[in-house]
Amino acid sequence: MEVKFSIRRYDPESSNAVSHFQEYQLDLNDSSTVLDGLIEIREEIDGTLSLRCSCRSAICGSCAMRINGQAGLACNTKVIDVLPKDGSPIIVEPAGNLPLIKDLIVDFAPFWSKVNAVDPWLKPEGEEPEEEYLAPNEDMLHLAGVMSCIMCGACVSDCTVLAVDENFLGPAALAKAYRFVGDPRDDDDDNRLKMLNGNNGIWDCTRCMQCVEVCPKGVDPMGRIMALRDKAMTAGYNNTNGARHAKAFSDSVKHSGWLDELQLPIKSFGIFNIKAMIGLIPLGIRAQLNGKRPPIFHKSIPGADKVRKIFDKVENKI
Amino acid sequence: MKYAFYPGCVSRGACPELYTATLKVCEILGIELDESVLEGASCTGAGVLQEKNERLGDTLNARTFAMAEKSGLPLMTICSTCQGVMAQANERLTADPDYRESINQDLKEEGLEYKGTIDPKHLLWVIVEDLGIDVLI
Repeated sequence: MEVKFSIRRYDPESSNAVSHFQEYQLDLNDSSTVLDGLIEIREEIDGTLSLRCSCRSAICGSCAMRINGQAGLACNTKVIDVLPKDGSPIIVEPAGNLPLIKDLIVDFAPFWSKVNAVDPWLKPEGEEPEEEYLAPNEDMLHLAGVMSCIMCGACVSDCTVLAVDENFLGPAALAKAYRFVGDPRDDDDDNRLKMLNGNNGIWDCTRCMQCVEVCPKGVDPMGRIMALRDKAMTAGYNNTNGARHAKAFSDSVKHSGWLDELQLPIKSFGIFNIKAMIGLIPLGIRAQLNGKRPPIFHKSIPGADKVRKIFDKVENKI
Repeated sequence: MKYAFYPGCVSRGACPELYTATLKVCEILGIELDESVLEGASCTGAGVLQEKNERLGDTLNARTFAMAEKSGLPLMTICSTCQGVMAQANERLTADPDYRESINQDLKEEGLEYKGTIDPKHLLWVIVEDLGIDVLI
Protein backbone atom coordinates (compact mmCIF):
# COMPACT_ATOMS: atom_id res chain seq x y z
CA MET A 1 0.00 0.00 0.00
CA GLU A 2 1.04 3.57 -0.68
CA VAL A 3 1.93 5.40 2.50
CA LYS A 4 2.96 9.00 3.06
CA PHE A 5 5.06 10.00 6.04
CA SER A 6 5.49 13.57 7.19
CA ILE A 7 8.55 13.59 9.44
CA ARG A 8 9.75 16.43 11.61
CA ARG A 9 13.35 17.11 10.65
CA TYR A 10 15.96 19.11 12.49
CA ASP A 11 19.70 19.23 11.93
CA PRO A 12 21.62 21.50 14.30
CA GLU A 13 24.64 21.41 11.98
CA SER A 14 22.75 22.50 8.90
CA SER A 15 23.22 26.06 7.68
CA ASN A 16 19.47 26.43 8.04
CA ALA A 17 18.88 24.73 11.39
CA VAL A 18 15.11 25.06 11.62
CA SER A 19 12.66 22.38 12.59
CA HIS A 20 10.46 21.51 9.60
CA PHE A 21 8.37 18.69 8.16
CA GLN A 22 9.54 16.62 5.23
CA GLU A 23 7.28 14.26 3.29
CA TYR A 24 8.21 10.83 2.00
CA GLN A 25 6.12 8.39 0.00
CA LEU A 26 6.75 4.66 0.00
CA ASP A 27 5.15 1.31 -0.62
CA LEU A 28 4.62 -0.84 2.48
CA ASN A 29 2.85 -4.08 3.43
CA ASP A 30 -0.25 -4.35 5.57
CA SER A 31 1.93 -5.83 8.30
CA SER A 32 4.58 -3.06 8.21
CA THR A 33 5.27 -1.06 11.32
CA VAL A 34 6.02 2.65 11.45
CA LEU A 35 9.61 1.69 12.24
CA ASP A 36 9.76 -0.47 9.09
CA GLY A 37 8.71 2.62 7.17
CA LEU A 38 11.29 4.86 8.85
CA ILE A 39 14.09 2.35 8.27
CA GLU A 40 13.10 2.01 4.63
CA ILE A 41 13.20 5.78 4.25
CA ARG A 42 16.65 5.90 5.83
CA GLU A 43 18.03 2.97 3.81
CA GLU A 44 16.39 3.64 0.45
CA ILE A 45 15.33 7.26 0.18
CA ASP A 46 17.16 9.60 2.52
CA GLY A 47 20.21 8.47 4.46
CA THR A 48 20.30 11.68 6.45
CA LEU A 49 17.24 10.74 8.55
CA SER A 50 18.31 10.08 12.13
CA LEU A 51 16.42 7.88 14.55
CA ARG A 52 17.14 5.48 17.42
CA CYS A 53 16.05 1.88 17.18
CA SER A 54 17.35 -1.52 18.02
CA CYS A 55 15.27 -4.59 18.90
CA ARG A 56 12.16 -4.01 16.72
CA SER A 57 10.28 -6.06 19.32
CA ALA A 58 9.08 -3.47 21.84
CA ILE A 59 11.61 -4.53 24.43
CA CYS A 60 14.63 -2.22 24.10
CA GLY A 61 12.67 1.02 24.44
CA SER A 62 14.73 2.94 21.87
CA CYS A 63 12.14 4.04 19.34
CA ALA A 64 9.58 6.01 21.36
CA MET A 65 8.39 8.97 19.31
CA ARG A 66 5.22 10.86 18.55
CA ILE A 67 3.10 9.29 15.86
CA ASN A 68 0.14 11.42 14.80
CA GLY A 69 0.70 13.51 17.91
CA GLN A 70 0.76 10.68 20.43
CA ALA A 71 3.83 8.98 21.90
CA GLY A 72 4.42 5.32 21.21
CA LEU A 73 7.00 2.83 20.03
CA ALA A 74 7.48 3.00 16.26
CA CYS A 75 8.22 -0.74 16.28
CA ASN A 76 4.91 -1.85 17.75
CA THR A 77 2.73 0.62 15.90
CA LYS A 78 1.40 -0.81 12.67
CA VAL A 79 1.17 1.60 9.75
CA ILE A 80 -2.32 0.37 8.90
CA ASP A 81 -3.55 1.38 12.37
CA VAL A 82 -2.32 4.97 12.17
CA LEU A 83 -2.75 5.68 8.46
CA PRO A 84 -5.29 8.49 8.11
CA LYS A 85 -8.24 7.43 5.96
CA ASP A 86 -8.29 10.68 4.04
CA GLY A 87 -4.96 10.01 2.36
CA SER A 88 -3.03 12.49 4.48
CA PRO A 89 0.41 11.46 5.76
CA ILE A 90 1.33 9.76 9.04
CA ILE A 91 2.96 12.47 11.12
CA VAL A 92 6.13 11.38 12.91
CA GLU A 93 7.84 13.64 15.44
CA PRO A 94 10.49 13.20 18.12
CA ALA A 95 9.38 12.46 21.70
CA GLY A 96 8.33 15.56 23.58
CA ASN A 97 9.50 17.07 26.87
CA LEU A 98 13.14 16.13 26.22
CA PRO A 99 15.78 18.27 24.47
CA LEU A 100 15.96 17.65 20.75
CA ILE A 101 19.31 16.48 19.35
CA LYS A 102 18.56 15.71 15.72
CA ASP A 103 15.48 14.62 13.72
CA LEU A 104 13.77 11.92 15.82
CA ILE A 105 16.53 11.71 18.44
CA VAL A 106 16.11 13.37 21.82
CA ASP A 107 18.51 13.74 24.73
CA PHE A 108 17.63 11.28 27.50
CA ALA A 109 19.93 12.90 30.10
CA PRO A 110 17.04 14.59 32.02
CA PHE A 111 15.12 11.31 31.91
CA TRP A 112 17.98 9.36 33.50
CA SER A 113 18.78 12.01 36.08
CA LYS A 114 15.18 11.86 37.32
CA VAL A 115 15.17 8.07 37.43
CA ASN A 116 18.45 8.25 39.36
CA ALA A 117 16.94 10.79 41.75
CA VAL A 118 14.54 8.17 43.15
CA ASP A 119 17.43 5.83 44.10
CA PRO A 120 16.29 3.03 41.80
CA TRP A 121 17.89 0.20 43.70
CA LEU A 122 16.87 -2.07 46.54
CA LYS A 123 17.81 -0.88 50.03
CA PRO A 124 17.26 -3.73 52.42
CA GLU A 125 18.18 -3.45 56.08
CA GLY A 126 19.47 -6.03 58.48
CA GLU A 127 21.83 -8.85 57.84
CA GLU A 128 22.36 -10.02 54.31
CA PRO A 129 20.73 -13.42 53.73
CA GLU A 130 23.01 -16.29 52.83
CA GLU A 131 21.23 -16.82 49.57
CA GLU A 132 18.80 -14.50 47.75
CA TYR A 133 16.25 -12.24 49.42
CA LEU A 134 12.93 -14.07 49.49
CA ALA A 135 9.57 -12.44 48.91
CA PRO A 136 6.13 -14.05 48.78
CA ASN A 137 4.74 -14.29 45.26
CA GLU A 138 1.55 -12.41 46.12
CA ASP A 139 3.57 -9.48 47.47
CA MET A 140 5.42 -9.16 44.18
CA LEU A 141 2.53 -9.63 41.73
CA HIS A 142 1.38 -6.00 41.95
CA LEU A 143 4.86 -4.98 40.86
CA ALA A 144 4.84 -7.12 37.72
CA GLY A 145 3.24 -4.33 35.68
CA VAL A 146 5.64 -1.65 36.86
CA MET A 147 8.65 -3.92 36.37
CA SER A 148 7.65 -4.21 32.70
CA CYS A 149 8.83 -0.63 32.17
CA ILE A 150 11.37 -0.52 29.34
CA MET A 151 12.35 3.13 29.97
CA CYS A 152 11.24 4.20 26.51
CA GLY A 153 10.14 7.64 27.69
CA ALA A 154 6.72 7.58 25.97
CA CYS A 155 5.04 8.65 29.22
CA VAL A 156 7.56 11.45 29.76
CA SER A 157 7.10 12.60 26.17
CA ASP A 158 3.39 13.17 26.58
CA CYS A 159 3.23 14.15 30.27
CA THR A 160 1.11 17.32 30.44
CA VAL A 161 2.79 18.46 33.67
CA LEU A 162 6.32 18.19 32.26
CA ALA A 163 5.11 20.31 29.35
CA VAL A 164 4.75 23.22 31.76
CA ASP A 165 7.19 22.28 34.54
CA GLU A 166 10.43 20.59 33.52
CA ASN A 167 11.36 20.00 37.17
CA PHE A 168 8.55 17.50 37.77
CA LEU A 169 10.06 14.07 38.43
CA GLY A 170 7.64 12.70 35.87
CA PRO A 171 5.72 9.47 35.33
CA ALA A 172 8.64 7.13 34.53
CA ALA A 173 10.75 8.04 37.58
CA LEU A 174 7.73 7.99 39.91
CA ALA A 175 6.60 4.60 38.60
CA LYS A 176 10.14 3.40 39.26
CA ALA A 177 9.96 4.84 42.77
CA TYR A 178 6.76 2.86 43.39
CA ARG A 179 8.55 -0.26 42.22
CA PHE A 180 10.83 0.05 45.29
CA VAL A 181 8.36 1.50 47.80
CA GLY A 182 6.05 -1.40 46.98
CA ASP A 183 8.79 -4.02 47.19
CA PRO A 184 8.55 -6.02 50.44
CA ARG A 185 12.34 -6.49 50.47
CA ASP A 186 13.03 -2.74 50.56
CA ASP A 187 13.34 -1.09 53.97
CA ASP A 188 13.77 2.53 53.00
CA ASP A 189 10.10 3.41 52.40
CA ASP A 190 10.04 6.22 54.92
CA ASN A 191 12.93 8.16 53.35
CA ARG A 192 11.67 7.42 49.88
CA LEU A 193 8.15 8.69 50.66
CA LYS A 194 9.57 11.77 52.36
CA MET A 195 11.51 12.66 49.21
CA LEU A 196 8.61 11.84 46.87
CA ASN A 197 6.27 13.92 49.02
CA GLY A 198 8.49 16.98 48.45
CA ASN A 199 8.64 19.52 45.65
CA ASN A 200 8.38 18.19 42.08
CA GLY A 201 7.19 14.85 43.42
CA ILE A 202 3.97 12.84 43.61
CA TRP A 203 1.68 15.82 44.24
CA ASP A 204 2.50 17.54 40.98
CA CYS A 205 0.66 14.99 38.84
CA THR A 206 -2.67 16.32 37.54
CA ARG A 207 -4.06 12.83 36.85
CA CYS A 208 -4.65 13.55 33.16
CA MET A 209 -4.05 9.85 32.34
CA GLN A 210 -1.94 10.64 29.30
CA CYS A 211 0.94 8.48 30.58
CA VAL A 212 -1.42 5.54 31.06
CA GLU A 213 -2.73 5.97 27.52
CA VAL A 214 0.63 6.07 25.79
CA CYS A 215 2.59 3.50 27.83
CA PRO A 216 3.31 0.57 25.49
CA LYS A 217 3.85 -1.80 28.41
CA GLY A 218 0.86 -1.32 30.70
CA VAL A 219 2.97 0.19 33.49
CA ASP A 220 0.15 2.55 34.58
CA PRO A 221 2.44 5.31 35.89
CA MET A 222 -0.46 7.50 37.04
CA GLY A 223 -1.94 4.62 39.04
CA ARG A 224 1.45 4.17 40.74
CA ILE A 225 1.63 7.86 41.57
CA MET A 226 -1.83 7.65 43.16
CA ALA A 227 -0.71 4.59 45.14
CA LEU A 228 2.35 6.54 46.33
CA ARG A 229 0.08 9.41 47.48
CA ASP A 230 -1.97 6.92 49.47
CA LYS A 231 1.19 5.44 51.00
CA ALA A 232 2.63 8.88 51.79
CA MET A 233 -0.57 10.01 53.55
CA THR A 234 -0.84 6.69 55.41
CA ALA A 235 2.78 7.13 56.52
CA GLY A 236 1.78 10.47 58.04
CA TYR A 237 3.07 12.87 55.41
CA ASN A 238 0.03 15.13 55.50
CA ASN A 239 1.63 18.55 55.42
CA THR A 240 1.30 19.24 51.70
CA ASN A 241 -1.27 21.10 49.64
CA GLY A 242 -1.97 17.80 47.92
CA ALA A 243 -2.65 15.85 51.11
CA ARG A 244 -4.78 18.68 52.52
CA HIS A 245 -6.62 18.87 49.19
CA ALA A 246 -7.38 15.13 49.34
CA LYS A 247 -8.61 15.45 52.93
CA ALA A 248 -10.71 18.57 52.28
CA PHE A 249 -12.23 16.92 49.22
CA SER A 250 -13.02 13.74 51.10
CA ASP A 251 -14.50 15.64 54.07
CA SER A 252 -16.71 17.69 51.77
CA VAL A 253 -18.11 14.64 49.99
CA LYS A 254 -18.51 12.82 53.28
CA HIS A 255 -20.52 15.58 54.88
CA SER A 256 -22.57 16.96 52.00
CA GLY A 257 -22.38 14.30 49.29
CA TRP A 258 -20.65 16.61 46.84
CA LEU A 259 -17.78 19.00 46.44
CA ASP A 260 -17.70 22.40 48.14
CA GLU A 261 -15.53 24.20 45.59
CA LEU A 262 -15.39 27.38 47.64
CA GLN A 263 -13.81 25.69 50.64
CA LEU A 264 -11.49 23.42 48.67
CA PRO A 265 -8.69 25.90 47.82
CA ILE A 266 -8.89 27.49 51.27
CA LYS A 267 -8.51 24.17 53.04
CA SER A 268 -5.90 22.90 50.58
CA PHE A 269 -3.57 25.85 51.11
CA GLY A 270 -4.56 26.16 54.77
CA ILE A 271 -6.53 29.14 56.09
CA PHE A 272 -3.48 30.40 58.03
CA ASN A 273 -1.37 30.46 54.89
CA ILE A 274 -1.85 34.21 54.56
CA LYS A 275 0.22 34.54 51.40
CA ALA A 276 -1.83 31.89 49.60
CA MET A 277 -5.10 33.34 50.91
CA ILE A 278 -4.18 36.78 49.56
CA GLY A 279 -3.18 35.08 46.31
CA LEU A 280 -6.69 33.65 46.04
CA ILE A 281 -8.36 37.05 46.24
CA PRO A 282 -7.92 38.03 42.56
CA LEU A 283 -9.22 34.61 41.55
CA GLY A 284 -12.24 35.09 43.83
CA ILE A 285 -12.93 38.52 42.36
CA ARG A 286 -12.64 37.24 38.80
CA ALA A 287 -14.95 34.32 39.60
CA GLN A 288 -17.48 36.68 41.18
CA LEU A 289 -17.41 39.12 38.24
CA ASN A 290 -17.84 36.32 35.72
CA GLY A 291 -20.68 34.55 37.49
CA LYS A 292 -18.43 31.63 38.34
CA ARG A 293 -18.35 31.84 42.12
CA PRO A 294 -19.48 28.55 43.68
CA PRO A 295 -22.43 28.85 46.10
CA ILE A 296 -21.44 30.45 49.43
CA PHE A 297 -23.88 28.25 51.32
CA HIS A 298 -23.01 24.73 50.31
CA LYS A 299 -26.21 22.69 50.49
CA SER A 300 -26.07 18.94 51.03
CA ILE A 301 -27.47 16.60 48.39
CA PRO A 302 -30.71 14.80 49.29
CA GLY A 303 -29.84 11.77 51.39
CA ALA A 304 -26.33 12.97 52.22
CA ASP A 305 -26.57 10.92 55.42
CA LYS A 306 -26.60 7.78 53.27
CA VAL A 307 -23.33 8.84 51.64
CA ARG A 308 -21.86 9.44 55.10
CA LYS A 309 -22.90 5.93 56.13
CA ILE A 310 -21.02 4.49 53.16
CA PHE A 311 -17.94 6.46 54.17
CA ASP A 312 -18.18 5.07 57.69
CA LYS A 313 -18.58 1.52 56.41
CA VAL A 314 -15.84 1.58 53.79
CA GLU A 315 -13.30 3.80 55.56
CA ASN A 316 -13.15 1.29 58.40
CA LYS A 317 -12.22 -1.50 56.03
CA ILE A 318 -8.57 -2.07 55.30
CA MET B 1 -33.48 9.57 23.72
CA LYS B 2 -33.82 9.95 27.47
CA TYR B 3 -30.90 9.88 29.91
CA ALA B 4 -30.35 9.82 33.64
CA PHE B 5 -28.42 13.08 33.87
CA TYR B 6 -25.41 13.40 36.17
CA PRO B 7 -24.30 17.04 36.04
CA GLY B 8 -21.41 16.72 38.53
CA CYS B 9 -20.25 19.19 41.17
CA VAL B 10 -18.43 21.66 38.94
CA SER B 11 -21.34 22.42 36.61
CA ARG B 12 -23.31 23.36 39.71
CA GLY B 13 -20.42 25.38 41.13
CA ALA B 14 -17.60 27.19 39.33
CA CYS B 15 -18.70 26.24 35.83
CA PRO B 16 -22.42 27.05 35.68
CA GLU B 17 -22.21 27.83 31.95
CA LEU B 18 -21.61 24.12 31.34
CA TYR B 19 -24.93 23.27 32.94
CA THR B 20 -27.05 25.90 31.16
CA ALA B 21 -25.37 25.22 27.80
CA THR B 22 -26.04 21.48 28.20
CA LEU B 23 -29.73 22.06 28.79
CA LYS B 24 -29.98 24.26 25.71
CA VAL B 25 -27.98 21.94 23.45
CA CYS B 26 -29.92 18.89 24.61
CA GLU B 27 -33.23 20.62 24.00
CA ILE B 28 -32.26 21.38 20.41
CA LEU B 29 -30.92 17.87 19.80
CA GLY B 30 -33.95 16.20 21.35
CA ILE B 31 -31.99 14.65 24.22
CA GLU B 32 -34.31 14.32 27.20
CA LEU B 33 -32.60 14.70 30.57
CA ASP B 34 -33.94 13.25 33.81
CA GLU B 35 -32.01 14.76 36.71
CA SER B 36 -34.37 13.53 39.40
CA VAL B 37 -33.33 9.87 39.31
CA LEU B 38 -29.77 10.81 40.29
CA GLU B 39 -30.78 13.55 42.71
CA GLY B 40 -29.28 11.68 45.65
CA ALA B 41 -26.13 10.62 43.77
CA SER B 42 -22.84 11.70 45.33
CA CYS B 43 -19.68 13.15 43.83
CA THR B 44 -17.61 10.58 41.85
CA GLY B 45 -14.61 11.32 44.04
CA ALA B 46 -12.89 12.96 41.05
CA GLY B 47 -9.86 10.72 41.49
CA VAL B 48 -9.01 12.64 44.68
CA LEU B 49 -11.04 10.41 46.96
CA GLN B 50 -9.49 7.48 45.11
CA GLU B 51 -6.03 8.70 46.17
CA LYS B 52 -7.07 8.01 49.73
CA ASN B 53 -9.32 5.03 49.23
CA GLU B 54 -10.13 3.53 45.83
CA ARG B 55 -12.72 1.17 47.22
CA LEU B 56 -14.63 4.06 48.73
CA GLY B 57 -14.75 5.79 45.34
CA ASP B 58 -15.90 2.60 43.65
CA THR B 59 -18.67 2.17 46.23
CA LEU B 60 -19.98 5.70 45.70
CA ASN B 61 -19.93 5.26 41.92
CA ALA B 62 -21.56 1.82 42.12
CA ARG B 63 -24.29 3.53 44.16
CA THR B 64 -24.85 6.09 41.38
CA PHE B 65 -24.80 3.38 38.70
CA ALA B 66 -27.34 1.36 40.71
CA MET B 67 -29.65 4.39 40.85
CA ALA B 68 -29.42 4.84 37.08
CA GLU B 69 -29.90 1.11 36.53
CA LYS B 70 -33.02 1.17 38.68
CA SER B 71 -34.48 3.96 36.54
CA GLY B 72 -33.83 1.96 33.38
CA LEU B 73 -32.16 4.99 31.78
CA PRO B 74 -28.65 5.24 30.36
CA LEU B 75 -26.34 7.52 32.35
CA MET B 76 -25.03 10.77 30.88
CA THR B 77 -22.25 13.00 32.25
CA ILE B 78 -21.02 16.41 31.11
CA CYS B 79 -17.76 16.68 33.06
CA SER B 80 -14.57 15.08 31.77
CA THR B 81 -13.37 14.26 35.28
CA CYS B 82 -16.66 12.57 36.22
CA GLN B 83 -16.53 10.69 32.92
CA GLY B 84 -12.98 9.45 33.42
CA VAL B 85 -13.46 8.51 37.05
CA MET B 86 -16.79 6.77 36.43
CA ALA B 87 -15.38 4.84 33.48
CA GLN B 88 -12.43 3.62 35.57
CA ALA B 89 -14.70 2.61 38.44
CA ASN B 90 -17.05 0.85 36.04
CA GLU B 91 -14.16 -1.02 34.47
CA ARG B 92 -13.25 -2.48 37.88
CA LEU B 93 -16.88 -3.14 38.81
CA THR B 94 -17.79 -4.94 35.60
CA ALA B 95 -14.52 -6.84 35.09
CA ASP B 96 -14.73 -8.59 38.44
CA PRO B 97 -18.20 -9.80 39.55
CA ASP B 98 -16.81 -10.85 42.94
CA TYR B 99 -15.52 -7.34 43.58
CA ARG B 100 -18.87 -5.86 42.48
CA GLU B 101 -20.67 -8.27 44.78
CA SER B 102 -18.54 -7.23 47.76
CA ILE B 103 -19.20 -3.56 46.95
CA ASN B 104 -22.92 -4.29 46.67
CA GLN B 105 -22.89 -5.55 50.25
CA ASP B 106 -22.36 -1.95 51.36
CA LEU B 107 -25.25 -0.71 49.19
CA LYS B 108 -27.73 -3.28 50.53
CA GLU B 109 -28.89 -1.13 53.41
CA GLU B 110 -30.19 1.43 50.92
CA GLY B 111 -31.88 -1.27 48.86
CA LEU B 112 -29.50 -0.69 45.96
CA GLU B 113 -27.59 -3.21 43.89
CA TYR B 114 -25.41 -2.58 40.86
CA LYS B 115 -25.78 -5.34 38.26
CA GLY B 116 -23.07 -4.00 35.97
CA THR B 117 -25.20 -2.81 33.03
CA ILE B 118 -24.39 0.91 33.02
CA ASP B 119 -22.09 2.52 30.47
CA PRO B 120 -21.49 6.08 31.69
CA LYS B 121 -21.39 8.36 28.66
CA HIS B 122 -20.33 11.95 28.27
CA LEU B 123 -22.66 14.21 26.27
CA LEU B 124 -20.08 14.33 23.46
CA TRP B 125 -20.10 10.52 23.26
CA VAL B 126 -23.91 10.53 23.33
CA ILE B 127 -23.84 12.88 20.34
CA VAL B 128 -21.28 10.80 18.43
CA GLU B 129 -22.35 7.27 19.38
CA ASP B 130 -26.05 7.41 20.15
CA LEU B 131 -27.34 10.22 17.94
CA GLY B 132 -24.72 10.15 15.20
CA ILE B 133 -22.48 13.12 14.62
CA ASP B 134 -24.56 14.12 11.57
CA VAL B 135 -27.14 15.67 13.92
CA LEU B 136 -24.70 18.57 14.26
CA ILE B 137 -24.76 19.35 10.54
